[in-house]
Amino acid sequence: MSNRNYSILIVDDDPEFHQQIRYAFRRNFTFEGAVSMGNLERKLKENGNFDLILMDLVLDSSKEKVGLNLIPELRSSHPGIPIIVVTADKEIDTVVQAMKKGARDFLTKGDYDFEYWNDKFTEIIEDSKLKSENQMLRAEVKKHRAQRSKDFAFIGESEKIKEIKRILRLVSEEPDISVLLAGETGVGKEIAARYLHQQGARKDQPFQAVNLSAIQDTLLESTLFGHRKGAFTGAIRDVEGYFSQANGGILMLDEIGDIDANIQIKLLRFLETKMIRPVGADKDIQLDVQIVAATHQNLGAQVEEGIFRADLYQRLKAMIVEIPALRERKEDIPLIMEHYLEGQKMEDILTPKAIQLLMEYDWVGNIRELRNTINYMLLRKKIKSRMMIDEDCLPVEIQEFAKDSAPYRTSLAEDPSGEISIEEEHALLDLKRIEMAMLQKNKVKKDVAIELGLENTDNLRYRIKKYYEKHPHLFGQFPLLSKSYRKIVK
Amino acid sequence: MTNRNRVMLIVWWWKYGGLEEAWDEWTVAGYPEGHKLIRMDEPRSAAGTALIRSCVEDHLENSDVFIFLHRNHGYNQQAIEEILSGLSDHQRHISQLKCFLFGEGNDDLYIAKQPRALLGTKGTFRANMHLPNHHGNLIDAVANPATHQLKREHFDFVWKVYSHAFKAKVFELKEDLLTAFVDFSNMDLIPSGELYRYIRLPENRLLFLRLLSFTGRMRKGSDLERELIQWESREKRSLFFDDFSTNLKTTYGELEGRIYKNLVEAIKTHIFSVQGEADLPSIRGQFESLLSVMSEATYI
Amino acid sequence: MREILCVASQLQVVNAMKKYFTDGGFKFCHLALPVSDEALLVGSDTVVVLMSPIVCNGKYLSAELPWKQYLREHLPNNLLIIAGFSDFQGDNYLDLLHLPKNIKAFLNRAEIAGGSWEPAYTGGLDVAEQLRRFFEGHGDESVTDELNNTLRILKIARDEMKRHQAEYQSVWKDLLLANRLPSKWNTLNNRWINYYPNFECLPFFGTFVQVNLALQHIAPYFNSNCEEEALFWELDCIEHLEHAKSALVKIEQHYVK
Repeated sequence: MSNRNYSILIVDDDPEFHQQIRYAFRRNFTFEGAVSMGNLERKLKENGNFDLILMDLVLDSSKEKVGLNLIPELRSSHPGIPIIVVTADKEIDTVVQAMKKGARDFLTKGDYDFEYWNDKFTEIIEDSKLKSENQMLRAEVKKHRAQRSKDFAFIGESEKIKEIKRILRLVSEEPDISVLLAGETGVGKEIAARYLHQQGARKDQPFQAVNLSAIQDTLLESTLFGHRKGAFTGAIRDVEGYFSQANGGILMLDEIGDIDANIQIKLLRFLETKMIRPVGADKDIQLDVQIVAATHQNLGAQVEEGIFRADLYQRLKAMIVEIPALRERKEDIPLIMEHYLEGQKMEDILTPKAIQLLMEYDWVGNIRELRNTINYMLLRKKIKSRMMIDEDCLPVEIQEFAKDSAPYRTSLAEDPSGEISIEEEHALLDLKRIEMAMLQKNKVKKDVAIELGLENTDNLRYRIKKYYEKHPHLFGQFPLLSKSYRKIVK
Repeated sequence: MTNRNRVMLIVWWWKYGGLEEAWDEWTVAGYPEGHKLIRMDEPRSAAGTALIRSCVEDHLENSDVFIFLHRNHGYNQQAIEEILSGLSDHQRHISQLKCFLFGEGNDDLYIAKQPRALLGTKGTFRANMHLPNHHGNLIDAVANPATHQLKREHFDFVWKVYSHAFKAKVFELKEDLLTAFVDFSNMDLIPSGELYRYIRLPENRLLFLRLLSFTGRMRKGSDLERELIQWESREKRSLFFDDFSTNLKTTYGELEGRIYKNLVEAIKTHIFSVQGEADLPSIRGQFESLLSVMSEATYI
Repeated sequence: MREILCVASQLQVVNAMKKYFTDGGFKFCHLALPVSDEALLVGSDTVVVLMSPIVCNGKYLSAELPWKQYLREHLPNNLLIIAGFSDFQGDNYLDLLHLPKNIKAFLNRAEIAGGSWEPAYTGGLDVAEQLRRFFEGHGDESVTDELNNTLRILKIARDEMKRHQAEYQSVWKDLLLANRLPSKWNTLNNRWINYYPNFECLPFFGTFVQVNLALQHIAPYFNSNCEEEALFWELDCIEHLEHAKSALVKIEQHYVK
């Protein structure tokens, strides 16, 4: 294959060597030559886009290896251009010195071999390009991680949160212990799990979080444990599951109360043996994964009802950390808001009335609701061209809450049963979130799924379907959602 | 190599090669202008000697000077003496000054003998170098007529060879002499006249002639001299010592001259004499003394 | 009977030493120039006597250093005696003007070739220095550089024709002549001709003979101004030059570097 697009700068005081190399590789590379130091600087200034520098170490009549001193200079001024040293002899000392100073490789003029040299040029150039791409990617990942760590910062100075952080730090010193995070929806269980990850020995290893309730039951096993090619229809290649992807690190299994008996057994087996078996595989795989389970449900009650395995529960409850609801730590609201407002003080951007309403609100959806509310308020402020966020910019339910007449509460209160279960309340909040996302994302389901952290439209569809099966009466409040999923919502 | 300039004055058939003036000068590519070759085509005469001496005097303060005199222009040992004795002691010793006789094509000055030498076909720097693409054509092997400059490797080569030529000749004479007499080396007592009888054997003829030249016992124009010229032609090397002895006595210094004289006496006593006992270690000792005071290396 | 291997070219000296050693009860062998490798396949009690300076192609050469190095490597337990007319004294020096009366006592005092003694310089043209100049060049490129240059050009030419089906004529014009290959050969060959005869007195001259054969084998191609494609292929120029190079590199590594 021709690599003619790659450009090589030859630095050598022997014009015949230039001529020979140009001639031999003219079909595969383009060449420039530089003889003197001044010439070299000019060439690099004129065209810094060389893919490779091929450099002799003896560059003048002094026979001194002055090129050795040029290597670090070039590496510093043009770090993206790899250098291959071409020496007349194979003096080990010289080669070692050149490599130490930053040369990528060396070739001996006496050992000319077209194929070897051609491959070497290509290999070094492509490797260097890959490395610089990797560096860019790493920078991206770093940026992304910084963003994520901002998103997942465990904010709070309340005594409850301080205590939880202390416990999590202690737990982090035991990288093999399983942890069960309990708490209402939206209290920040994933944030707590990530905090645990960041504190402990596994902080440089992967962190994977998976919402088990968002995955279809039929796909759950394969999603968690992976599968082998041909394990089932559509399994066209080997696929790693969340467990394997988290190997060495932490796997957070959110909504653990939603998994069926089969997965419960496999999870228990993993907790006991640290082994998994991908679907369709004939051998177990040994993994080193710390499990952080989370649920908003009362697992003890589920055990009693026979829905959740007692032995699995026993395993998980060895270390239960209860994350308090936001309304139980309202003193943290200003800090959390400041965090999401990117450092702006609440009082600098909200009117005192708005602050008062926010502080009085009971935040059933906890931090998730607070965050959505912030986004909503900022949007309203923009639409209404307000200098500050006032009460008009607040969501209706917060405004209404102050009047102690929140519409959904009213509607729930008007429910014929007269009672509202936590499960129903959770479904209502989640559906509201989906409806809002539908509005914001112009009903593009894929964007909605991503916005909600559901990864794909299948998961979104599955979740809606489950809610509809259990709470069809709630869907009247969500016209956008209902219309978009009219095959489900009939 | 000394930092002084190097000047070669060569008296030869330059007029055949186009020299129209009494002399001209060629500089050397890559060296300062003080390094040069002076071409002169003056037959031996009082005026010629004066011209050479004057030319040499002009350069001695700042340069080492080698004078090459062509035998076929009439130059001989006596001519060297005339030129060198006309110089003051200061002039003779301030620099490396050597005066060589050459001719008949067997000297290291000729390209025909040494490809990196200076003298080409008669009067020129041109020669057939037997290079590919130059079949039978003469090329400017030594100099660039356009710039009037000599190629430095040719200039350097001749200078180096002649810097050591005298000492190498003495060394080789010593080795040849002792090799010839090796059968006597372990005799406790060498009978009188034995070495002389031995050196007169036909197989030792060349050695005998060289010893005569070395000891200054070869007359100009004699049959012996003609015979040695023939040997030079046959052996393709310089065999005469006529220039050497004069140089040693004049330009090398008093000590060198005295030791040379002692060596000549030892050869006369132990080899050329038919009376008294011969002593080879004594001759060797004198040779080694002389070689040790000649400051140049034997070979380059 | 202990053997003397006498390396000398001056016949008077050889005859004198033969008489001296045979009278002393030794078996005497003369190794004439050029030296052949086989002659050095000797037993450990053979004494190598090297005349120095030795006459080699009309020049007096001092070859004691390379000989000492060679024997130290190949026959370290043998004796190396330097013989000559210099006024030296030393356990391994045989002064031909003062031959020891008791040869056996002299040889008993001498050190083996593998010992750390340094042979004295006997005044001839120093062959060790000649070797160095041959390999390193004096102001010019080293022989290895010259061989590498020539080889690289030839290999590029071969690749052009074999891989890319280029015509020889275009390769000749655009590569061989453009890179002055005939002139490069000429430089290399001149250096070879200049030095090769001086190496006849070396114990590893056989390697130089092999190199010479290789160079002479491919010379017709270069003498044709590199114009004859048939000679390029028929003479296996690259293989012969590679052979010459590897042989010379070995010598350089052992005796120059």
